[in-house]
Amino acid sequence: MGTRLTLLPERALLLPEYNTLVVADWHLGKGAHFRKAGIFMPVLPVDKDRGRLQSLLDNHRVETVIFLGDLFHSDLNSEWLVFERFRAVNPSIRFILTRGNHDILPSDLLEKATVDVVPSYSIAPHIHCTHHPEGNGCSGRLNIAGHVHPGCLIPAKGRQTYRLPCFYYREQTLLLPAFGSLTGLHLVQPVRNARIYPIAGDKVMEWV
Amino acid sequence: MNTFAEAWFFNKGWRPHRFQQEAWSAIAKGRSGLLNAPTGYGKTFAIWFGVLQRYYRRQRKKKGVHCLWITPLRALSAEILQATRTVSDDLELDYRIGLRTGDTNTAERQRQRTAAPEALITTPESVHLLMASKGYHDYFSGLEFVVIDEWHELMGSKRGVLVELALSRLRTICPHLQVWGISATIGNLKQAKEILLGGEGKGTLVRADLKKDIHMETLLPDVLERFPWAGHLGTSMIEKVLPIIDAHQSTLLFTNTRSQAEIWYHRLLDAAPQLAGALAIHHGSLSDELRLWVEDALHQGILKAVVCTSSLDLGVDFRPVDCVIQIGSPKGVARFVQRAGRSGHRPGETSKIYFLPTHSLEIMEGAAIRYAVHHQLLEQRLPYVRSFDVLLQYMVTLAVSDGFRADELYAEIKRTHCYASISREEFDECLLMVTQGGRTLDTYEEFHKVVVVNGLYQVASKRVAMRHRLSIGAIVSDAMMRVKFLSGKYLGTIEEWFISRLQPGDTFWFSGRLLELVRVKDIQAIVRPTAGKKGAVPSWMGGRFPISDNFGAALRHTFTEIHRKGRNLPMELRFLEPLFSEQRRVSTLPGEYELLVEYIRTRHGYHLFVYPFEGKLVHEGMAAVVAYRLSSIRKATFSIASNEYGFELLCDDPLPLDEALQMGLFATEKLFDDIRSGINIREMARRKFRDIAGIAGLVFQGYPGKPMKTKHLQANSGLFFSVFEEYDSNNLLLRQAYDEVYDFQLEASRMHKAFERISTHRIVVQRPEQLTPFAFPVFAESFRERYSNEDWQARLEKLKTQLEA
Repeated sequence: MGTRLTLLPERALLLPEYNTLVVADWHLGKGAHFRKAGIFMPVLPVDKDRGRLQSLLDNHRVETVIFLGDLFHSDLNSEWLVFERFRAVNPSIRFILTRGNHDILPSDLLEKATVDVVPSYSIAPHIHCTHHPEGNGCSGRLNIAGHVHPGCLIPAKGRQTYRLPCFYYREQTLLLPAFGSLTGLHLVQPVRNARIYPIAGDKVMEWV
Repeated sequence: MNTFAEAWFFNKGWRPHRFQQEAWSAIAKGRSGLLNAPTGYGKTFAIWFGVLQRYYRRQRKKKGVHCLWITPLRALSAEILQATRTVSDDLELDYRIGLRTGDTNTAERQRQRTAAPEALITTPESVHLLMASKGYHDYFSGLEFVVIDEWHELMGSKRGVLVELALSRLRTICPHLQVWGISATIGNLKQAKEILLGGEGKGTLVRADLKKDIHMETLLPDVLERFPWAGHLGTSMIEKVLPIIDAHQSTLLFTNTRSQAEIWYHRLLDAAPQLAGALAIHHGSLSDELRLWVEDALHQGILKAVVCTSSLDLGVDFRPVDCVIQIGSPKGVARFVQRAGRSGHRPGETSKIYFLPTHSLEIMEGAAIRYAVHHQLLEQRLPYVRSFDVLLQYMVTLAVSDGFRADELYAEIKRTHCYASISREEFDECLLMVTQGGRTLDTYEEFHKVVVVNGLYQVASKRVAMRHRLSIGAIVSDAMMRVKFLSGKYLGTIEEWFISRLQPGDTFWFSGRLLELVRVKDIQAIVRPTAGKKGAVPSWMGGRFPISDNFGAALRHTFTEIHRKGRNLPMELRFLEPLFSEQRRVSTLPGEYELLVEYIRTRHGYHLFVYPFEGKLVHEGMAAVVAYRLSSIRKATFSIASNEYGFELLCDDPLPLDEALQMGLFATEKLFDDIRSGINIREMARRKFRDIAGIAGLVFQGYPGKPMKTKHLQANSGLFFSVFEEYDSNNLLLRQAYDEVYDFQLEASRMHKAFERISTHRIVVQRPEQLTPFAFPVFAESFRERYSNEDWQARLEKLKTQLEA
């Protein structure tokens, strides 16, 4: 009984039984969006993020990638080409996007890149994916969600602190860290019933 | 002689001061200069009648603005407006005066364009906004005077850089411009004059030699707590404050932070409910409406007391105020004198100020400040140099209006103090940043900001232009939430991070009221007043400043007095005797020329306490150097805390202290290398970068109070910092962040002096059994830095073991 969830330090979630990879909040196009407005943002992180995702697909058995919303940061810009190329080199993988508040790209573009855009998606009857966390309403099933960009501030010995991205589980909701490098962190609190899994370098740990 | 002044003073039955006559005569000769005079003695008139006389010396006058009067504060602008208009009315002059600040409405601005008044009273930001509008060159072509009020206040900030830049352009437009600064006394008055007038030896310095008497008294607690905890004394001292408020007509209670003001306000009301209606609160995060009401009520004398912050430090006279109470450390000598001067404003009156310490050790600051004021140890104001963020903003400002040419602009800004040392390469890099986003980014075709057409740098996009106009200025605030009642009444702003930790139904103190959070909507926190006694107190970043170098010296000097134990020992030091004996018993009471080092083991780990009495900023830097030096003997990770008196390094493992001392733990050799090697420089730079990113236009926040839709353009400066560090490490703005850390955060030159001083001192090492009276307040500091030379991976391994255990 139970589904295996693998929390990957590459800021993604793998469900091996379903050959499914879940990635939240890439915010692709953010750099270009800022540059168009006359605000400096470098291009390199985009390549880095794409490379990281590609190596995940190369090293795991993945048939479906679920983008948990905020795949593209805003209006169309040149960085969409990165996604189209990425699509082209992975033709056999199914791409699903559970639409997020940032996903305002016209549907035909997403269609052209053969991304299935849905409000929410159930991997199995008991596993439900959404961009915004659903809150307490979904008894009996797991809600996998993005949007929050969870991070944590861990006090360590000698009264030090570490600021790390994390997975966050509470009341049947699993929040994924933001995948994109050009994203910030929203600090979550270690409240009761919450489990926090910070990503420290190449390892995901549990913070108890 | 100044005929206007003569007539006016005669009608009033007043006699001009000598400094006023000196100023009039210098202005009449067409000179520029700096006037050094205290508030309340007619410094405005000392300049103003000079301006009038120059204006009327010619029969045929140019149309348009004749004089710009720049002040740092809107409240001050209103007062100058009133004073100068009175003169025009009394003498029936056709010299009109207009007010141009962030509050001026569009219709009024339009009028000021089409039918410009002879004088505009304005702020540095508004002048830049004027330069961001088309045709500003013509608008200013008849200008003869620029007056910079409270220049000492502007000079130490990037707003001072805005002033320098504005002057550099205005001097090109009007080569015969007369520039006058007005400044309170500071340690580097001559430099203040030179920066303003653009060169050494230029201009006249007019000094008002008026001595102001200050009566100062420290309020002592009934019982001396031997283990002082920061903030501990605060409220038990309320009983001492109430009789003082009672005995005076109107009292200002200055706190060092806005949160302290909130706490004191409601505690005072708790202790003396009869003060309701006669007690008010005033700080920078409250709405203009609330603040103006308080200022008005102060003028009219209907308030017994106001709890305030530096928001009432400056400018405007409140005649009824006859007493000032400083709550917590005075921090600096000039600031203390200025605050004291808020009472007994009129010539011949004595200023009266009480110092109320907030923890036991702070009591000694009473003795120190008296000594410092007596010896006039007024601080210098350190001007900003090489502020590329402001330059970038300025370039876009000019590009938004009439455009600029690179060679002309370069020649112009090279004449300012701030940019005198920048190279053409650096200037060109700035040009690249506004045209294509940076040096290495020539492939970024989509970057749109400034375009070059026939050598003229211009902004083509209306949206870029509008966004830029909304973000002109050098004051950057955190993401702010607007606090409003359900009815829509606006109370003020609170930092977003504070609200984000509250749930609807939670209560907090703000604007002196207990409020219940109803809901958060966009960037508004909707609240309702609530009864009850308990609530969180918001804190605002950036409200903290360290004690000054001069005050630090005065503080160290008190140790000489303590050890001398003469009959003339100041009452503060006599009172602290039990605390000093306890310190002496468990450790050592250092002398003025000794450095005390305490090495203590507790259940938290191994603590090293050092007490240089140099102020928090310098201590942060010294701590980093000491941490680096210790860890180059043996790899280690430290947690660092500091306060105004000393700093603490805390480590899991024992420290190689003896070895380190032998090798010169406090030596000046290789000091700057060791500073650079301290990893937390980077953390400091990250924080500095916040302001820089805001000013340079990387982080757009909308205009205070007028949030604009910025779809998907929100990013915090920390993200930019990481990105630059990784992908463009030579970026000018990034380098600026590090330079600012050296100059302002670490105060590197001051730190170097501190190390030099210590190298002549005897170092006293003690190994007490437990925390000492000196150690306790440092240990209790909640904010901590970390320092480590173990690499990231090694530290994570350590963390992993701890997390997995």
